[in-house]
Amino acid sequence: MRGQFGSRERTKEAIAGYLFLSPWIIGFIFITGGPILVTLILSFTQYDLVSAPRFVGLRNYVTMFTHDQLFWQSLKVTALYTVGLLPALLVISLLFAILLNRKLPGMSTMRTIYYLPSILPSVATTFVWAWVLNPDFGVFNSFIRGLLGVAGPRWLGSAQWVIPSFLMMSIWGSIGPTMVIFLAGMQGIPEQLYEAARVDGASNVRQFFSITLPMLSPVILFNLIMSLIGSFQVFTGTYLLTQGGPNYASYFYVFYLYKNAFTQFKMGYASALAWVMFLIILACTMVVLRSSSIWVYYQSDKSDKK
Amino acid sequence: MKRGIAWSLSLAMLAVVVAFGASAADTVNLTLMINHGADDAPLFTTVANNFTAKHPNIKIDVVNVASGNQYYDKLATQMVSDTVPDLFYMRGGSGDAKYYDKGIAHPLDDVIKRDAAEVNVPDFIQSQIAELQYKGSWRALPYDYSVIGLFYNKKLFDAAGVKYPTDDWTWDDLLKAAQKLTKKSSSGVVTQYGLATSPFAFATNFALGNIWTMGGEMLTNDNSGVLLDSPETIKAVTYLAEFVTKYGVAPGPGTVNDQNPFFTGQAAMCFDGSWATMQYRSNCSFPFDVAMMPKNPTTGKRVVAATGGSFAISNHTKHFEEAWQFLKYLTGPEAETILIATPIRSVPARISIQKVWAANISKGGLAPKNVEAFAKEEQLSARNCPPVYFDWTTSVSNIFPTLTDSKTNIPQALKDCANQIRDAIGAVGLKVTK
Repeated sequence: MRGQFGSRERTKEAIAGYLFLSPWIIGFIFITGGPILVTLILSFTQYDLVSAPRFVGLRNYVTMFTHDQLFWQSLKVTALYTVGLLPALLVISLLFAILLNRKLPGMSTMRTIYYLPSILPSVATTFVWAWVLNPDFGVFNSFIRGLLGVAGPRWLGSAQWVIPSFLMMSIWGSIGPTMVIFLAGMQGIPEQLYEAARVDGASNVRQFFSITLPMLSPVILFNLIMSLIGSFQVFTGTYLLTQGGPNYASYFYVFYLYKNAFTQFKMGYASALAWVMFLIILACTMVVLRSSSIWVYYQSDKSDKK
Repeated sequence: MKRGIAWSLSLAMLAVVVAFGASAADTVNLTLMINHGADDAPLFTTVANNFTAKHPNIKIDVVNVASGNQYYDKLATQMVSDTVPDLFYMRGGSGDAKYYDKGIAHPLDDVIKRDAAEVNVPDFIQSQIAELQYKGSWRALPYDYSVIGLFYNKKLFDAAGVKYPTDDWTWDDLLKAAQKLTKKSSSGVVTQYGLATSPFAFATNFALGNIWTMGGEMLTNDNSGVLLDSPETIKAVTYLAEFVTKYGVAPGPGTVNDQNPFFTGQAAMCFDGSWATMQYRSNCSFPFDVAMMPKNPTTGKRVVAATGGSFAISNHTKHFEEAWQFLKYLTGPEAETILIATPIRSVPARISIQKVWAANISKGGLAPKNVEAFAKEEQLSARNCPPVYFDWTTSVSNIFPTLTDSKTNIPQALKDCANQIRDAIGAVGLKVTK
């Protein structure tokens, strides 16, 4: 196919592409790119905001890995949260997408309702959740008391329950966008595939695993990567409610970074933390992308390569 | 000829521009950055306008950065970009010393000495002076001073037939009353707490007062050593923790800031700040009052942790003298009256204005009737919260909430906390003495 276009056409197309990208590229270079570069330089310095940055070589990175218990604790807490969040969020959003993909009356209203949590300001919903989770007077523990007759956990006040509490809050808040992307993906699956399967007598379950899931795998990959990146950046809840506690059980990585930068004025160290986080996210994303050739099905693969 | 006219015209215009420029330079524009609620901000504008009426050449622009923590993030960013406003709000216990250490504020020793009569330092509350100075040199003038007190719901006390708290209560009296005021359902679930706040509420600052009252210490007097794991402190903390773990009269961890069952009538008493009186007035649908914090049952002593707001001048202001004139007015008797004594919010930092404030309260008949308890605490029992030269707040705010968890081994938890603070002292290059 491509051979039909001349090189002139291709250049034209490329220029158009870059033009469409230009608002983002210009913004990135001038607003985001500069500061990112500066943090890389600062990560090799000791910088307290006031005196000039002092070059210290790799010291920030060495301290982090060898002397800083809170670094490891925050990494552990964040990893735990990520491992808990990703499968739950993807499965639940997918389930909701399947339910909301039915052609029933009132479906668009239902979709709006399920998307609603995502458009509310997260600070407001965080405080509402704090009330829901209040150990003495909250809705959750009232239910637990009523149904099971036992006292519920102390949620945000308990080192064991604080991460599950944050998971509930995050999943509730992030279902919307994840689900909408799944929905869009599902609606892009050609109806003929299902028709053919029905003719062959495939059950609904079989259709889901043999058609929906493979056809949706690129979308799953996208959602997985976006959620992965998002989960490393979790901050609001711990900043507003727990300050990392109790006993550092919700001391998330970005919160630790923030504390270093803005309450201890260790900007150099905070920059190093940011770069380590970037590398960790990059590595995780690469692993996911590499593994994707095994489980992601691209329609165009066969026609292009064979 | 025509050319001559054109020339002279342009020269005249130039003269006009120069003249205007000069007169504009005579007016000094100052920026005052505050960290207050939307209801409070107009009071500051009034004060600024009153000042300009007396000093027409000084105009004040009031900028309110309402949110608490973000105010300090902003200040830090302004410090980097060298855009700290001419005058700005500071609060003890929020790391003010840390900012002073970075040279954010202009030293005030010379001008305070020069204008001693006007500044009137003896009118300040003695214990607050510690947080207005950095290494013995003045950095700010005080605005208000804050302590916590014991708020109580009169209706619940009447219903239970328990006598109201007095300013002479001890912690034992508090415990006995709280036990009578804690109610459980038939299935053993607490439906009403005697005390809404744990004795370690406001962990980063004000809980220290309770530990001090009970004979414990966090830091040595010169803030260079940690005493949190000393036997005296362990004893004090254990006594306070038992309000939750042994007697169950106050909720354990898990209640976050701003969740107060006192407002909904589900708790008979709570600790809260002198700054919160207006909030209580609007949130409580029942009669309430406030008493001084309880005393030590054995020694009869009371120590109340105190910290307050103040205003400082940027070290990089181009108009120090004008800023100083305004600072004197802003923290002087007239402004203090407008800002605090007349609206009866918070507690004025000047003893003389505390009298005006108290007179307004008794005239107005507003609840809480005994609000003077706060002023009495400040004058009789206040001790300034330790400064934040080094970060002791992270470990305290992480570990103190676990003290009311019955599974926590208190001596061990305090030892961990103490060691973390020792690390923090060491991390800023200070010598740890204990």
